[in-house]
Order: sequence, then C-alpha cells, then structure tokens
Amino acid sequence: MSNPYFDFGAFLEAFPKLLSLLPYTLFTVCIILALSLVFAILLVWLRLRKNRVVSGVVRFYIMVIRGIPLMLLLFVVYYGLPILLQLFGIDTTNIQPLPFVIVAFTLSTSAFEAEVIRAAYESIDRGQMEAAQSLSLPSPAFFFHILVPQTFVLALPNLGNLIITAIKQSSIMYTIGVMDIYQKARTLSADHFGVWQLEIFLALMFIYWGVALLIDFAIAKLYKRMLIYIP
Amino acid sequence: MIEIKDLKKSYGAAEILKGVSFDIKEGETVVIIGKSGSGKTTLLRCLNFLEQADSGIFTLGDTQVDFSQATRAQKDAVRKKTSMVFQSYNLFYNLTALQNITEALIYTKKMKKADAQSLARQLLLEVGLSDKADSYPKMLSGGQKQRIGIARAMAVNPELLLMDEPTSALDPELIDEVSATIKKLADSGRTMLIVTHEMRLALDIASRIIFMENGTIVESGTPDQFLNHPQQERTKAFLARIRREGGL
Repeated sequence: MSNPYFDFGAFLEAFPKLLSLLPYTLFTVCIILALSLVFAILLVWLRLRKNRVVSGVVRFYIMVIRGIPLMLLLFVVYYGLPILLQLFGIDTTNIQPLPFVIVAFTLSTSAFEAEVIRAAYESIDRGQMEAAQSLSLPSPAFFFHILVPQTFVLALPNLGNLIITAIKQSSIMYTIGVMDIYQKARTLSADHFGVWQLEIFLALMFIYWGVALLIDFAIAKLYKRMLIYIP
Repeated sequence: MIEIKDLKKSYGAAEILKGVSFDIKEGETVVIIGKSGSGKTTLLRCLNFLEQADSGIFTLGDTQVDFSQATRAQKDAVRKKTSMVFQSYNLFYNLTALQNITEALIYTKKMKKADAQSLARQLLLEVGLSDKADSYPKMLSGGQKQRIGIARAMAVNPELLLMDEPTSALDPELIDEVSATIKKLADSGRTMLIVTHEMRLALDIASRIIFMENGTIVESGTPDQFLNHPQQERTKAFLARIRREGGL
C-alpha cells in the first residue's frame, strides 16, 4: 500500500514494539495505585479527625497537591528530593529515576483519591450510624463491616476515573528519562527520522484507549454488581 | 417497672420536652400519640440516648440514670436494655437480612456465630420472612424492611422495645403487614413504647395511650377511655380533627 500520507504497514508494525513496554507501564501504575490508596486512606483518616489543626493541615496539603501540575510536581520531586535527602545524609546519586516517579505520582494520585474517598464516606446513609449506636455495636465492627464496604462501593466510579487518569498521566514519566511505553514511541519514531511519527503515535493512542476502555468496562461491571450494597 | 420522671429537653431556646413523666409496666404496650412537633419522637430518642436529654430520671429495671449527669457506662447500660425500630428502617445496606440481625448478636452480645444465626432464623420466622434471610435490604419492600428492623431490635432481647413511627414511611398497602407483626409482639408480652401519629395502629395495639402536645403529656388512658371518654378539651379537639381527616 503506497499512501504518501499514512503508511498502514508501519502503523501495524508499531503495535508489537509498543506493547512490549505496556506491562512495564501498567506495573508501574499498579504500584503507584497501591501506594496511593494506602496514603489516601491515611489522609482521609486524618482529615476527618475532630482535631481542627490536624484536619486543617491535611485539607491544606490536599489543596496544594491538587493545584500543582503533575509534570511540575515530578520535576520538583526529581530535583528537590535528592537535596532534601542529602540534608539527612542520604546519597541518591545512584538511584534510578523510577522511584522519583513513584513518589511524585503517589503524592498526586493520593490527594485526588482522598477527596473521592472522603466524599463517598460522607455520603453514606447516616441512619445506619444511629442503628449501630442503638444496638451498641462496637465501633470497629461498624467501621469495618458497614462503613468501609459502603465507602468502597460509593467511591468506585470515581476511583475508576482516577485509575484511567493515572495510566494516561504515566506518559509524562519519560520526561525524567524512564523508558515507558510513551518513551518507546518517541524513540521508535526517532529511529526512522520521524518519517512514521504519526503512524507510531496513533498506534500508541489506540493502546492507551484500549486500556482505558477495558478498565472502564471492568469497573462498570463491578459497580453494577455491588450496587445492591448501597441504598 | 420502667419509669421516666420529669424528662426535659431543649434545643437552644426551644423547649421540646417540658418535664414528661410516665411509667410502663412489664408486658405493657404504651403508645404515644400526638401531632408532629409534639416532642414524641424526641422523647423516644432520648430514652435510647440518640439525643441527650437535659434532665430527668430514667429507671429501667435495676438501672437508674440521671440524664443531666449520665456517664458513658450508664448510657451503654441503658442502650443494652433498650432497642429501637426506626421510621426509615435504618438497615445496614451491605448486609443480608440475616446478617442485619446477627451483627449485634455476634459483636455486641458476643454470641457464637452459629447460635446467632439460629436465633436470627427463628426471628425471621416470627416476622414471616424466613425466605428472605439472604436478601439484601435493597431487594426488600418497605414493609419487609421494617419487619427485618423489628426482628433486629428484638434479637438483642431488650427490656424495652422502642419504635419510632414504625409505619409512617410505608405505602398504605404495606402498613397492615407491619401492624400485624407489631400486634403479635404486643400480644406476646413484649414491653414496648411506640410513637405514632396513626390512630388506628395505636388503638389496635396499645394497652395504654399517652397523648402528647407541645412537649407535655395531656392525657393518658386505655384505648377505650381515650377514644370514648376523653377528659381533656385538647384531647377531644385532637380526636375530632382525626375523625374529620378520616384517620378513624
């Protein structure tokens, strides 16, 4: 096929080369999601303390983090964290860029997740709390058996959005030199002097889109099954 | 013997309960009736410490609490001897009907899981919902949800069962099944304090009716006394209004 504008063969050839890096990208995002979820739960827990100083500080922290463009946050962590660690006598010169990516992305994602989880928690039907009080149900039982599962279900659709956002945003880790699927597309197109740039990046777009679609589908399916657990 | 003495509760400047006193004998079903805003629901909620009353003495068997200085331990003691049926059921949505009943048995009363489950199945049978043990609240009708709510409250075997407008949130055609369940409980000798504005329910189940208005008790008596020989003008006016509105 000789089309001067679009080389379909090059478009197809790009897929296997790009897909070889997809597991790396997904694995990295999984680590970020796992860490950020733990951190987000901690943030929500602190945010909902009766102590106004603690909840105020956490609220301010979340506001600040949410207001920073992720690429900027990544640079600040990449260039700033080594200096901070040096003050404590920790040398980071031999550390790969990936840990910095994980730190920056975890900070960002957890702030957004914290807001989603808090909103879900606060929208739980409060009558259940009175029932628990009336039955003298111990707080841990009420928290783990009733509040946590319902918060999870209520937060699920928005958490799904954040997962998709995290995968798409992971493309900027190339900026500090991590070889992910996006950087692979850049090097592939450079290998061919930019001749097949459009073909390669379009292939990449389809891959991101396919992953987003799969996650969307899975979350929607899960949510539908769990709708029975909320009013 | 259950005794409530001089119960008072204000929200800011608004005095909701202006010194309410009455007693409930064992096995009695006392129904508090009155318009909305009369303080009847607040009264009930104070007895379960869902609201903190300002003052008054609450005697429940061998437990006595002064509301003005109730300790945490006293509140717990009262809550363990009372249980509440809510107007909007307040079932735990992510638990099945059976789990709604066993939750407090296992985690509050520290009952063995198998024992809790067999007791819960027994109660489901009593409220006529044996086949719904594994249903989630969302799959149940309002009447079924309320019957689960009643079973859940009965499970902890309270000395006093409190019901706050148990049929008010129900569609008219579902009221009868819940009324029948409550009637069965009343007949079985449960000690109950029920708040409602449904005159028919009150007449049907009460051993004694208490009529409240503006935070005080106006009159109290058997359903027959109350309906046919009211003493107070305010009671007569209330009954007349209900008759006009077709509530009798």
